[in-house]
Amino acid sequence: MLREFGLFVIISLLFASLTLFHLPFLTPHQTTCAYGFSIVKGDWGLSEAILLRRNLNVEISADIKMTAYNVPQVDQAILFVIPEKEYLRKEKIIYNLEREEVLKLLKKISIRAEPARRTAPQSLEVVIQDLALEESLILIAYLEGDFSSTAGVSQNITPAPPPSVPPPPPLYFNACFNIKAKVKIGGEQLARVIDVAVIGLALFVLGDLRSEDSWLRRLKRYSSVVKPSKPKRK
Amino acid sequence: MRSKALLHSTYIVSMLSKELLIAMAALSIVQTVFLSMMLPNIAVEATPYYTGGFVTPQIRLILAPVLGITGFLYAIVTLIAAAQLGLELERGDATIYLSHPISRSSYVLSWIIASLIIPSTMFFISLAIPLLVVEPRLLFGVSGEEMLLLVLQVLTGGFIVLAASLLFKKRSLALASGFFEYLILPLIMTIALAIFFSLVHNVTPSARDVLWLAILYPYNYLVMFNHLGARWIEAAAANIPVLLALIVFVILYAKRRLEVG
Amino acid sequence: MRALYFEDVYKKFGRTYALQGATFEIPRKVVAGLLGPNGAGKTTSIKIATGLLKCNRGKVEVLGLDPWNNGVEARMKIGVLHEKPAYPPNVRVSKLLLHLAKLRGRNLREVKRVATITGLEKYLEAKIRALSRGYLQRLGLAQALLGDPEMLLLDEPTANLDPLARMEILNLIKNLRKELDVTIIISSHILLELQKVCDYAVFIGVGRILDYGSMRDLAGRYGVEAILKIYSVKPRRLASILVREEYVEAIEIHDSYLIVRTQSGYWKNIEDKAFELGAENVELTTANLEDMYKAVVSRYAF
Repeated sequence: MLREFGLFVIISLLFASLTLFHLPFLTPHQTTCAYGFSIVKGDWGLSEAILLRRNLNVEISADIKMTAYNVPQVDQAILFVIPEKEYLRKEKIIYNLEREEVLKLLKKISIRAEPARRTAPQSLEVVIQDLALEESLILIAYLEGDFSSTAGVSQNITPAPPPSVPPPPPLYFNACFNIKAKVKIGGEQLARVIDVAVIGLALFVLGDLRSEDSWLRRLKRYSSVVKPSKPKRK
Repeated sequence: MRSKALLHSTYIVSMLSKELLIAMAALSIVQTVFLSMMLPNIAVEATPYYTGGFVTPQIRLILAPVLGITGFLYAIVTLIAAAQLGLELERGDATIYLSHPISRSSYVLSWIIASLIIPSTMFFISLAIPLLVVEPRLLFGVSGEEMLLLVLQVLTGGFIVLAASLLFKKRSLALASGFFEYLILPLIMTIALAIFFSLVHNVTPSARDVLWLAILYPYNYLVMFNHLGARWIEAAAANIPVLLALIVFVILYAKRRLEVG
Repeated sequence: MRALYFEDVYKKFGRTYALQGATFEIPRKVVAGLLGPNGAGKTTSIKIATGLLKCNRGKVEVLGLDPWNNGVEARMKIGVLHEKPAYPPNVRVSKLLLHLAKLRGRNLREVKRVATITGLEKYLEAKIRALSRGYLQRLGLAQALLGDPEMLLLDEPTANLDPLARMEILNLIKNLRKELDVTIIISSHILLELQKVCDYAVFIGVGRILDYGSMRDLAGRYGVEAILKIYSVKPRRLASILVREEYVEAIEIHDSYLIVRTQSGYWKNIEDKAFELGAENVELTTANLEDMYKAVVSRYAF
């Protein structure tokens, strides 16, 4: 039975390897949405939008697309990608800084920063491609605009809420992040494939040689029958 | 001398090796395809950020989508393997083996090992190896409760097929019993349940009300009624006595009543 | 110790009794024939003796052991060739024999030994489905011989074989008797073949035991003729002396042998006399089993 177990391991490993090496071509996407501002000061604000956690010890890259809805009053938006640990160290300071200082700090600690483009009067879009996820990251949206008025903010809510419901706040940030993760199999996984292959092969060979009905011995017999013997020298 | 049950089960496995290897390949492909579709989303978790600091990432591998398909395949392999005992009894091969110094209970035990334990091990291997290759930590994220209940459910079906093999000595009847128990009976029970609760108005069933489903189908019970508070320990507790009774029946019947030839 | 003992054994299948109050015994070191027509209960008796079937009532002992309750120990001492054995078709001969040998605590050497005895050496690596009927019977014999059993149970060993194959199997059985110190029980309805090998018989009909005993005793009991084949370089001289013996009923003279017919109770006398007179070999064709069977059946008319 040891032989059969070895074969089970080898077969499972073979199909696992064949499929896993196609992982980079598989990019299922997930969508997470964030709401609200963390800081609003006059004509600028910050939204600590999304936490991107890296759960596996594999090479991961991600394509991120942020779509912000209902933001007609925003003139400029930048999406910063900042390592979480780095951000946590600076988080409390940020609340006390002015706009220029905040921008300077964010640019310093971020690993990527992409400006948004307006795709429609009411929405903005940012695309970041091939973001390497080596650690957990926070996506922070920096927004500038005239946040004092509600001009352009759509009040048409369907169905119309009853009069007793207060109107939506003038300042409301709503963005959804579509994330496509690409997992790449790297050296560590390859090393494990080899380890498991060796174990499977060892089980197979050990089990087969112990068996009196050995496939390897039969193969050896067949190959010696098929191989013509060399003529003897006189 | 090595246990005769183990000796004979090794022989059975070597006889069925081609079929088992094909089944292993099928299980491996399906497991890996589903896992690979889930892996990117497990690798990267995106959540709204709440100020509060760093949270240690925990891998929670929700296996329901994978187990749903591969568990079905695992069950089919087990039921077909167990029905091979019926074929051996029907064809008369069993007469040859039982004419030699192996007891009837060892003979049936060898079939339990070969047709139930081995496919279960294959199932674990087909799941464990891709996880091991990607990241060993994933193994610890596998939900033990789901796996346990699935294994209990499949073993219950397997023992029903073994019992039918011994009683009818026909592979077709044994297989029919197994497929009826595993595929058709749950459907009938679910339909009956749905009709009953639709007739009884204004009553929301609780998980306890339908705990009787777990007697034969603990995994189905957990998956279907998780939202109503189904607990895996109750499901296991409902199923285990039935499984033990089946095991005792199969072994005692073999020891005391099994006639061949 | 008796090799096989049945005491008041009943076996029912549904509403039909395959055995009704079967009582007989077979001593050790004989070649016993279990004789009866199809459906008499011969195969059922063998399967009960092997522990494959459980009798509804009665006592069965195989070499002193209960084959149902002490099946493993009993089967360790016996080898069985079933009437229509079913083998896994896609398994190699050597693999099946090796596995069965391992069940008896033996190894590959044992497989080679029985393969040599039964002439299966060239077919060890063949798949069972590729074997002809004759070689399937040899395989059956080979697996029965594994582990040096003390008793062989052979159920219709020549069934479905062509005449040449039947002769080969019968010769094999004769050789087994000479080479191995075993009790052999052969179940068959072909009396002519059994006549060549048996020295003990159990007559069975419609699930009942009609009679049993050594061939000599049975022949004496039923007054059946014995036939001896005496080989001699001077058959005419031998014939002229033997014809004077009162118990000789008839003599046929051939070139190198005589056929002497006598009452079965006297065959030993003739054998001794023939050797005294320089005969090379005496073959007792035993009592004519067919005559004996007819006599038994007519006495216990059913």
